[in-house]
Amino acid sequence: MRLQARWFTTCLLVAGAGMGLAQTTRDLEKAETSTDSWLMYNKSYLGHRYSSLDQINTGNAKNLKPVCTFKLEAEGTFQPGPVVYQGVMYITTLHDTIALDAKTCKARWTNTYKPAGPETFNTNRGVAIYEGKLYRGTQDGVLLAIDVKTGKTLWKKKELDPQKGEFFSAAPIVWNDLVFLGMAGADWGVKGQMYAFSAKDGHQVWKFDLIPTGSEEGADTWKNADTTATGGGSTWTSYSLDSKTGLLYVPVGNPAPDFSADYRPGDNLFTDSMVVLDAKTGELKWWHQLVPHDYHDWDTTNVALFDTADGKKLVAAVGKDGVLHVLDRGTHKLLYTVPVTTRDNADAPLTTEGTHYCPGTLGGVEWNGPAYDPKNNTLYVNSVDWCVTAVLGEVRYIQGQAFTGLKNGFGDFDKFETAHGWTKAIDASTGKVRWSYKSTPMVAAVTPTAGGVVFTGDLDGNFLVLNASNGDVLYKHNVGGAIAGGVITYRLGGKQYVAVAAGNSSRTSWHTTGKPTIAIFALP
Amino acid sequence: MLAKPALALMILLGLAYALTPELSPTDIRQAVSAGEAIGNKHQGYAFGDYVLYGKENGLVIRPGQGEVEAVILGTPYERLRWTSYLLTSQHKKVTQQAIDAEVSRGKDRVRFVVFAHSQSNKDQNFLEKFGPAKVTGDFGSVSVSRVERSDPSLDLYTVVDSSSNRRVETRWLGTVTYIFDLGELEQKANADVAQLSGELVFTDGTGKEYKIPFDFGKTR
Repeated sequence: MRLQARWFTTCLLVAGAGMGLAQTTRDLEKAETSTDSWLMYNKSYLGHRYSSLDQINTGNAKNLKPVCTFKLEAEGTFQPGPVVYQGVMYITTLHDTIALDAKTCKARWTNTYKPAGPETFNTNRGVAIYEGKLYRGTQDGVLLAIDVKTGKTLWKKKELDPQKGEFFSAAPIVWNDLVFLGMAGADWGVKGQMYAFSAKDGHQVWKFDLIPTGSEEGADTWKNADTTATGGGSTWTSYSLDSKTGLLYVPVGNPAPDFSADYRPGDNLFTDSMVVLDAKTGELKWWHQLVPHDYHDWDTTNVALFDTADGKKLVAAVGKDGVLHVLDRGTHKLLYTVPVTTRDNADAPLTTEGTHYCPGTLGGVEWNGPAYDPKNNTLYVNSVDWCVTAVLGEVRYIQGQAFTGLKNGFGDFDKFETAHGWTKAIDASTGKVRWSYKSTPMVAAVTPTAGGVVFTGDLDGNFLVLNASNGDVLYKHNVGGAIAGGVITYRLGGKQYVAVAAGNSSRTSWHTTGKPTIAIFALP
Repeated sequence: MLAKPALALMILLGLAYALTPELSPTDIRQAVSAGEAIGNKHQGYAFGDYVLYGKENGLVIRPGQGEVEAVILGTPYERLRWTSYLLTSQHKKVTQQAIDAEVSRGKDRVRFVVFAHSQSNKDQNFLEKFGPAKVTGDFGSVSVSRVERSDPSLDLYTVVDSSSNRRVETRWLGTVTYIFDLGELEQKANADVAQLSGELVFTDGTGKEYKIPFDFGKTR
């Protein structure tokens, strides 16, 4: 009896410590329904972003007011998906990980990473939270574990070789002591891999070759095996996971070289694909390739899992090709595809005179993906409608052969003034487009709620609240800089808040301005 | 029609594929057909025996390698084959007009196509800095009659420094084409130009001199 009492006390202490440490796998598995937090880039493992909060609704959204803003001095790209836990928001920039009060925007701490190796690019899209730690990748291929409370770096582990152009930019997710994060850098000719790292010390638990070779499944889709060495296939957005089946869903980017398709004959698996892996072992379970043998730089960017009211378990995959693919997670059958932006001349060959096609290199669905609203069985997808003219001209000599490439880099974009974007609402069962909201390019995340509203933003800096049933604008507020990151919602102290990551998306690519900013809104 | 053993013997002796200054209708038909076959495969263009010099790894730049990646012997036959390939790979028809234009362009000329990259990603004009070229041999020396330069393009290379550190970086790349008049060569050599051999001599943008051996008798 005495022993039992001591055991009970120990359990209470452990449970209490657990609450302080934050976020076990069990907690994270409830992220889908939790309303006082936003626990990962796309809210939950399923990644469909729906919130059951309804304080802000179609009737009162017009009354929303800015609560506070948090501005960073840095001028780099700012595209994070904020994470909120116990009233604290966690965001990232290229080098900084920042904690701030999710009600007042007051800074708590900043962790600044000093890179030890060359940095290939300039973007980071956020953290994962798990058992008192924040996990993020860096541009020099390091995985960081940061103390949630203090912001101190607990450990850092070099995982990639930045000298080869390898880096991390995606927001990881964590499940059962495994941190899932993949290699970015396809445009620099990396050979992509997906990883599971130990949440305890960062050691690699498994890896999966996104560019298969030898006897690996899919290797025969590279007709010239030598070209797999620089085959691309990176991951630079976040991931989804079906915790009931233990399956990890990974969106995989473009093959490399981006436009020299003749260099890499074959379908080039698993580029531009959704790859489904056993999360515990990394074993390949199944895949769906959205764009075989890509020559437009049409990465697959996002995968969201959702269950419909009639019991279907589906998955939505999108990419820069601007086509939504919806499949059955059980049968793996493709149910339908539907374009979510203008597609023009999409199958035309690249020519020396120039080939104008849509979506262009910065078109389609970028780093924020589809969201699912179970109340009205609707998928919401943001996209960019911006075309490009690619001119074949480069001739490169490689080992006795000549390969053509683009004379004009990633193509000549149509005038930015002509670029626009969409929020599309799509019947999740049939693929029928219910409504379209036209705007400037739409790169930001989309969050539907039980209040019958859809939170999102545009590159002009407008935070938008749309009516989920018809796309009408219920509220619009310019936050002073392009909105290209996360748009999240949570309830603290009985009040529903909406936070928007705004500011610079990319001054060179997107012509955006504004300092990186977190803007928080609520009803008065 | 040559019997197969005889043809094989001629190939072995290097007699079957001597340079042809002016393409016959058969040459033209075969060059176009060969280019179409390569283009329809969509696996790049294999230069084969026309490579006079080629870096082992065209994706990597190592210290002291200079700017030149390859030198290709562009005979009238090979350049027509290339034209045919380039059109076919773009899903275009190889029209009679395109054939005539290339045959006319190539007649009585030989082109040495130099593939090169810049030393840094800031030197977009690096092709302009390539020096003049000449061909030398037992016959003496003949200067280039015309130089053509492609528009430069930006692409990625793995650059290895002297400490063996690697980094993926952008470099400008393009081609310099040295064109020689076969009539002038024949006059200078006082021999059948189809079997002429010697060296192509030129300097890259850094001043590094290249001496590339060629033998017109080994290619068609």
